[in-house]
Amino acid sequence: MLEPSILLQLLIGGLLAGMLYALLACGLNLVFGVMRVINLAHAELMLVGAFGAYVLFSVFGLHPLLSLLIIVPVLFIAGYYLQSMLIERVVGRPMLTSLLATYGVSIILINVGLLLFSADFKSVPALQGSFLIGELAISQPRATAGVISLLLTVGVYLFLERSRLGKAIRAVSEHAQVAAICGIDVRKIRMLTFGMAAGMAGAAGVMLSVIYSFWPGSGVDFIQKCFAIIIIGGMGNFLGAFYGGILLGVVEAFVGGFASTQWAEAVAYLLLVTVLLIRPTGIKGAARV
Amino acid sequence: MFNSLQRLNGRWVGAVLVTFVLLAPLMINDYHQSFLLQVFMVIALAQAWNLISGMTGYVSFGHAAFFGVGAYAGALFLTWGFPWWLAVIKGAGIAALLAVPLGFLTLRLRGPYFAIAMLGLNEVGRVVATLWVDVTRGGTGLTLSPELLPSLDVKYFTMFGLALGATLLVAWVHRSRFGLELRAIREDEEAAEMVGVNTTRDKVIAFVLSAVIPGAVGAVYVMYTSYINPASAFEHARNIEMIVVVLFGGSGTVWGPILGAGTVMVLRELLWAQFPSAHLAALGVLLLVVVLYLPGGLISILRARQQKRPDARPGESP
Amino acid sequence: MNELVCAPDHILCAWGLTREFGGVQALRGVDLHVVRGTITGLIGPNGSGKTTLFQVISGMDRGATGTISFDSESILGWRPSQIYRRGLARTFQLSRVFPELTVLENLVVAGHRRDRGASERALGLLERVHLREYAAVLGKNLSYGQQKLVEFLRVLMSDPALILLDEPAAGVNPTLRQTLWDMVRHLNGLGTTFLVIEHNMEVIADLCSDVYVLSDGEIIAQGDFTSIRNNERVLEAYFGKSRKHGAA
Repeated sequence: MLEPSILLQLLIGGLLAGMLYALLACGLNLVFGVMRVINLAHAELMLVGAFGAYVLFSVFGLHPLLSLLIIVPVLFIAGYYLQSMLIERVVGRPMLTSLLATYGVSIILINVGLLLFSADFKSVPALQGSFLIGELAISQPRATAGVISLLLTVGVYLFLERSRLGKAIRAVSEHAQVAAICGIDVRKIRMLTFGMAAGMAGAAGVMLSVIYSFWPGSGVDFIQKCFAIIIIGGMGNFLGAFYGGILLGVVEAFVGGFASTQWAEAVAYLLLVTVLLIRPTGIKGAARV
Repeated sequence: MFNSLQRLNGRWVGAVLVTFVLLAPLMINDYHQSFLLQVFMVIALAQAWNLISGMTGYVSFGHAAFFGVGAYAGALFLTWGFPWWLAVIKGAGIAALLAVPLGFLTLRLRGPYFAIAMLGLNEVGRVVATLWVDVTRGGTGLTLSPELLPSLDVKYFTMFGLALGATLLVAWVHRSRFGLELRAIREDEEAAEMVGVNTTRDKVIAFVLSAVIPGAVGAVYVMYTSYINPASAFEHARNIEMIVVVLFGGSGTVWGPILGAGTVMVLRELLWAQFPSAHLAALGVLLLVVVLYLPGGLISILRARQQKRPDARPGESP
Repeated sequence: MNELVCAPDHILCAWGLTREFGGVQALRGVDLHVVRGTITGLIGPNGSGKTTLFQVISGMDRGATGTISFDSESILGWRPSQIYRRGLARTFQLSRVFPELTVLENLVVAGHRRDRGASERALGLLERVHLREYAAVLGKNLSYGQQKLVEFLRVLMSDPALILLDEPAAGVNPTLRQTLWDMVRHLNGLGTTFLVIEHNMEVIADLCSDVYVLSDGEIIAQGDFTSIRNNERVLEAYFGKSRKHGAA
């Protein structure tokens, strides 16, 4: 049971899954950082990407990696407009208001998805097989999804750190009022950020479609994972979300390997609830009354 | 709230409704009786949610967790040979017992984090129900044999009793000193603490009260459907309905949840049978409407037409 | 502080109160006693820690070390609601009236739970400051000055022995301000002790028999107003080292 090769196998599987989680969580975190909005519909945006990839694959035969090129921009634009039409109206208000509003959006998205696609599981079996490295067998879809997720996340990180726009975004995250005084169009930044986050979610969805099977209700699990990740990693902290995502992936992999997949699924919930209830100051005092 | 004339009207309306409900089983068929049973269920759950989320301001996104606990507990006690009414009481009791420590833990969290924690707890409930196979039979669920179950009439009246009880509880709290303290907590918890309100005690009491009712409702519900599994016990639709019914009707009020329940049940009748997803999507739209345009719910439209009472007594703000 | 030093006529004694916020020392070993039945002033430049001190004494800030004794009972670590019900009340610098509650409800909620006569008492208090006709008005619909007055009345509902007033007159128009100070004087005559943060030196000179000066988290002077205003350290704290002025 404790052979090194099995442990290594689990570790790699966990890392790859974690990269997907990290991509998703970083997007959610970005929105929170810039506008203090917790987007409960984030996982559903991911599913839009996943179902998009599914449709493009099953109807047009488009390879998921290519459909990335369509889905990410489409979701970016959709996110941009969702922000301007809806989220902008609740930005200044208490966080609970935006939580309720995005909850509403998520409900709508889930059920429209059910109407369009029913509750059957879908997937995009475009990538098959495994790489063999010594004794390790690494599944190709997982490797591809993990690596691409990583590249995207790193790309966003570099964008935030190096580019002018990225710095403007970070400025708004730190202190929106001061950023506004410095001449930054805060509203535009918010719309861009949400678009980016939606794009990231969409990309994560495409990657998801290649590895797992999903249905419109799959988002519920993922949003909980995201919460667990960003609360543990520190809300608004990009790197925290990144490391947190990878950590969750690895923990889930090991729990799944040594206990059962059902227990693995429970990890995120248990982590989230435990952190919130036992150590709410783990959120840097932000969550406590 | 209502001026004297309208309060009398409220009582008359209430009396008429109650009479109708009591006589209904004689007049209508089983299908309609079941429908009414579900209306009562929605009202009871909504008023319970109203207590913690509407009146205290701690908005819970996962209160159906207590419903699920009550449902499983009720089902188990029934299969272990307890009479149905005792099973219901025990279901409610277990929900309350869990609510005490959970309340102390979750109520330390601020607004959105409390909401998320409750959302997480609902999922934890579902996961526990799935994994604790020895007790709950996991995903297969529990089926109750018909001879254990009370009749439809009994369930109908019990559910009505719960809906009525929940509504009266909210009405009483509304007028009471306890309710005033809850509203102060909702407005400004720190300031409330500063003027002597024991905020922790009050919040936990409200939380436990808001858990007992769904616990009982869940137990009765499982006797109505004779089957329970993790997905249906901790169903998201139930959470969504609790939230939308109260917010759309008017949170923190007595009649709001009833108005909201009426609206949502009408929607259910129109959509649920054919398109359950359409029903839920419609609820999502309603939620957006409330958040963006109508934060006070339907009740606020009615109130906008009234004068303020110049001599309002405490607990009865206009 | 050992018990011996806290005399029986001290209603509030604090010794060695220290509060640190992530590296910043807001309070450094503050010692303070308030004599029963007095109106004691607490002054000091902005940022000296006055409000922090109130936060600590009233229990809203539970992160301080030291000793606080109120009416011979140690209250450090108590919840604010416990402290309030024990007889120590406080007002806020910025009005924290409950906006969606009526004025009457604002007052009644601050009274004792089982007090059946709370409404009457509240109305009586409102009568004294000519606000009785506002009883049914929602808190948010009052003017700022009225809100501060209502907030002041609110803490009177429990008949506290000691009231901490944090700039009670800030932002209030002169007429209401006068009403407020008159009430303070009146209540003091009946035995209520006050500890008042104020920036208006006239008020301090007029009302306070004892004054503490807080600067940069420390008490740098204590005494009656005349001795305070000539105190070098005090002048330094307010005006800086390089300038020497006469009486402020």
